[in-house]
Amino acid sequence: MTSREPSRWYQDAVMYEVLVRGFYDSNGDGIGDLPGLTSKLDYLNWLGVDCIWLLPVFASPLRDGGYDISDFYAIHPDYGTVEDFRELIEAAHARGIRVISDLVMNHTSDLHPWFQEARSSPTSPKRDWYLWSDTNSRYRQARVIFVDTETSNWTWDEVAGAYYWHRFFRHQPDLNYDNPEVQEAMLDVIRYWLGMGLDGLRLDAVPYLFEREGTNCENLPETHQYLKRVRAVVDAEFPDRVLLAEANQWPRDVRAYYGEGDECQMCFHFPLMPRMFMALRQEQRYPITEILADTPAIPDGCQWGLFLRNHDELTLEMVTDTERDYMYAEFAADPRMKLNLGIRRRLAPLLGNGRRQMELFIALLLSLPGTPILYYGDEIGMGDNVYVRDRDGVRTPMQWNADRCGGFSRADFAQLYLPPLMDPVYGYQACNVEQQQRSESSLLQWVRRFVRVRQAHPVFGRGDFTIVEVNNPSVFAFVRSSADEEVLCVNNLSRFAQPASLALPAYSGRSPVELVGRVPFPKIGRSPYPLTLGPHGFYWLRLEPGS
Amino acid sequence: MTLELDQLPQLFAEIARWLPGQRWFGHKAEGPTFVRPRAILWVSPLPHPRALVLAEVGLDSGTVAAYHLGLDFDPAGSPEAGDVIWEGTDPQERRWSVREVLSQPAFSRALIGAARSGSAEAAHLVVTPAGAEEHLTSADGARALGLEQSNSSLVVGERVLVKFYRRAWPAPSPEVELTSALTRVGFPAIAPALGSMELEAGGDRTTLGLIQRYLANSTEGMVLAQTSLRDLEGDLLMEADGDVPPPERCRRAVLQQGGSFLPAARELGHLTGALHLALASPASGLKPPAAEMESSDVQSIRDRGLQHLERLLQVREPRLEPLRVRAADVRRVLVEAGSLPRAGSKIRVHGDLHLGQVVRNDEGWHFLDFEGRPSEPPALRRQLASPLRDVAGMLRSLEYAAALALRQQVHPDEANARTLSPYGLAWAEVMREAFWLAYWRDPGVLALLPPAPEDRELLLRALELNQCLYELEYEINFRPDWIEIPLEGIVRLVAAGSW
Repeated sequence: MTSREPSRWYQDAVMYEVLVRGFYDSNGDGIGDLPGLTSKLDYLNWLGVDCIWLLPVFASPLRDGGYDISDFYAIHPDYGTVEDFRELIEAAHARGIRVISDLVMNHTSDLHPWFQEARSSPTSPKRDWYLWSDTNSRYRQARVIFVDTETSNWTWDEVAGAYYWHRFFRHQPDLNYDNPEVQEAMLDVIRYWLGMGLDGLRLDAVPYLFEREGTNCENLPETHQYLKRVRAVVDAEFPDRVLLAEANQWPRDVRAYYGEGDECQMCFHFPLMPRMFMALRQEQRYPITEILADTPAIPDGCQWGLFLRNHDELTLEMVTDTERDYMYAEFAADPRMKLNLGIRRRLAPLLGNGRRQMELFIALLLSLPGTPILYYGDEIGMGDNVYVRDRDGVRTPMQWNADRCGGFSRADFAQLYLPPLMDPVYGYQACNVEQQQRSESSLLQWVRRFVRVRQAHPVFGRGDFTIVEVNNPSVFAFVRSSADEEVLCVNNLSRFAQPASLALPAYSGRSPVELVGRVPFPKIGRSPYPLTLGPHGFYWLRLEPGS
Repeated sequence: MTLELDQLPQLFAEIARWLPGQRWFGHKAEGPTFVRPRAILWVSPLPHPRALVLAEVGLDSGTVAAYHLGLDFDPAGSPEAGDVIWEGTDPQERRWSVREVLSQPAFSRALIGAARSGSAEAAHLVVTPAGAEEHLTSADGARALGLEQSNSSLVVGERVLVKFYRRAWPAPSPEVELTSALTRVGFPAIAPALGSMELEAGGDRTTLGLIQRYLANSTEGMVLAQTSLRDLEGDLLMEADGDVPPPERCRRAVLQQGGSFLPAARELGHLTGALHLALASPASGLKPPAAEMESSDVQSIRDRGLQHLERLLQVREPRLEPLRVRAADVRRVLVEAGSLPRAGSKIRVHGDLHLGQVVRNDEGWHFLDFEGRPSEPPALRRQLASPLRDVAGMLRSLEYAAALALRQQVHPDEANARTLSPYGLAWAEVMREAFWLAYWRDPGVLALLPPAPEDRELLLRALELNQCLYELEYEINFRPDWIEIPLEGIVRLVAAGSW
């Protein structure tokens, strides 16, 4: 136990999601690896990232991008060794960068020795580590999540002579958390990795740990009980680490995963992201303000995780059917872009490669209440490949320079885990880190600058959030405020220039100063404050005491 | 010692000079010939008195209209909000600056005291329910709302709206009645009523104000419709070449549009149906209760339309030619509707429903302003009407939205207008259809309408024609550049079977 006050570093952080497989290949085998990532930490440090989030690197047959773990204590040989992992953490910490990693709690690969042992005999000591049934009719109220590939949550296993339960792919049997041995085994896994210095865990697919007949088998009280236990163990043994829950639900339902501040410190805010795209397309703020109004307050020390795009499809589970049709029509013109209930595209192609739109979205990501999580490659406006399977289209190699394989690998082109993009707009010859580092006006330099501005103002990470009333529905304005400072953020969601009149009665007499250039704006008076915004323009204005 | 208003020479003459400059003053063309106080309620004492004044305003016609004024007698002449109407000294050599401050925060704070002091004075304030005056102030401050047509409003603590009626009509006001009834039955798509204020003087009561929830972060339907139309037409303008696009292409563009208003039109249709069900329900307690449309009701729709039409046919305006050509058709629709045997129900309606009376905020859409047409006396506004009257208002408003957007993009005479205007028409057509179909999807709503589909359409068409004729008269008088908008509506409405 420690008496030290937790620093809550995750509230101030700018996070960066890395696909190790796609970031940098150090040994020329065509696959990105941990030493490769370690060698690129200086780049991430230059960009200003505080924390990297690793997609799964554990031993796995890789039938689901590593979310099918076959040994919780081993690193997949493609990525390196446990020693490489330890070195990555040390090298990151030396630069002041924290590291968190995915951990799949809900299920294992069907190749995991636990499952192999379990299926071998009804009397196996591991039998009860998974869920078996003679019929496929239990838990009927649980929906099938991967509707494009699975038709049932039960699959018949010839070896076991029974059906086994899986909420995701059939090669990912669910662990049976009713078994205390499973609970203990997973706590040991957590202890092992945090003990190595990992700064936190993103708990994958967390709502599905327990099953109960007559329920939809999501968000059950038993699941929360277990998460509280995980948190208590982490707090007691590894202070100041973060647990980040992946619960793709409505914010009011996700709220439960914060507990009373005694479950996960962070949860993703899933519905915000598709609504930002809707707001942009409809040129009005309501899709965003509506979901924010419907987002409950969270306990002290907790934080939403915000992202524009991630390694999965742009998920549309958290929109209504009408909204989903709308999103498909607007952002997935090619049917190949659709996947499950979502759209598999990166940020830049979703925004038609519009620089102003990307800047506006990143500015929103950095200024809305929560911790921003950038997805690797989006900082240079990388594209996607809709012709490769599943979600691989948004997982192509990072584009470092205009050399062979985009500087990602020295391997033969044919050996790469996925071909890099080569089209004239998003291809590595046009769009890469080196070229954008050389150009002062590049998107990369812009992102770096705004990451810094955000970090210089802790109010973005920890401040209150208040919507400001504006007479123009295309303009979305809010104030982030703390005891130390207040920042007014004004965003134009329209592709046309817009005037705006802001009701700021509480800030009458204040002098707004633009955060990036320190340009003083006219003082706020008693009447509504007038501003003019360029197409997709935005302002961050610090409200300083009037002179 | 107090302040006597007649000791301030020429005060009311100055007020009479000041009144016509106020947006909410509804008799600009008719007066005032004089202004005099009918009743005075002092709400703040010396040294800084404030008074609520029920003022009689003389009109050219020899009649009198009553208005509510909030007068502030500032001894220091401090440079506060509001123009000075009168400045000078009284016989005691005290200096005063007089301003009108009805919707200013300080005046509302003063009203609280007046409400608490009860009915001791000859003129006094009656607040319903008792204690609702506590909403008139908040630690979080208050602000007067911007330009308004016929009222002055105060936002208190960003949570409460106090709407002061400028025109002093005998209580109860239709708006207080309807908003309170809808609040009572729990109808969600309004700003719920928290209370109302009446001024009682000499045995007469006038409705001073309505206290209701403030809908923060809201935008008028008309503005959101314009946002959608701007999105539709903004890029087309670049390619407009004066060619007339085929209607299917326009319709497709509207249906595939990113900034679509379609979900909003559907939702508004659905909510308008729900509003009518709530207004028609006995639980609302509204008087008079809903009834069947009688032959006199459809006849009066016919007669109102015919009178409008005949008046318009007298107007010497060459651009009215399309109306003259179709006068017989208009008469035919009105006469047919005037003899409908089964025209559905008549209920208390919103009375002045259009896109400017609905707002969207983070909780969805809401109906505002249940006053009806504020220039008409309350008794008239309280009359039962076919719910299709509100529907006609909204349908017309959707067409106005498209026409307004077009006028913003191009001058109607420009060649580009020929390319753009079919898109605007398609937009209006799609939205009107969506609104109408969503409106009567609920069987309860359908039961309020004429049972035969063709009767439904006929009655709606007649009511829309009436609305067009009303608009046309208004545009001739106030915005002659816009008379094409209602004219096009009339042309379309008499062309058989078209939407």
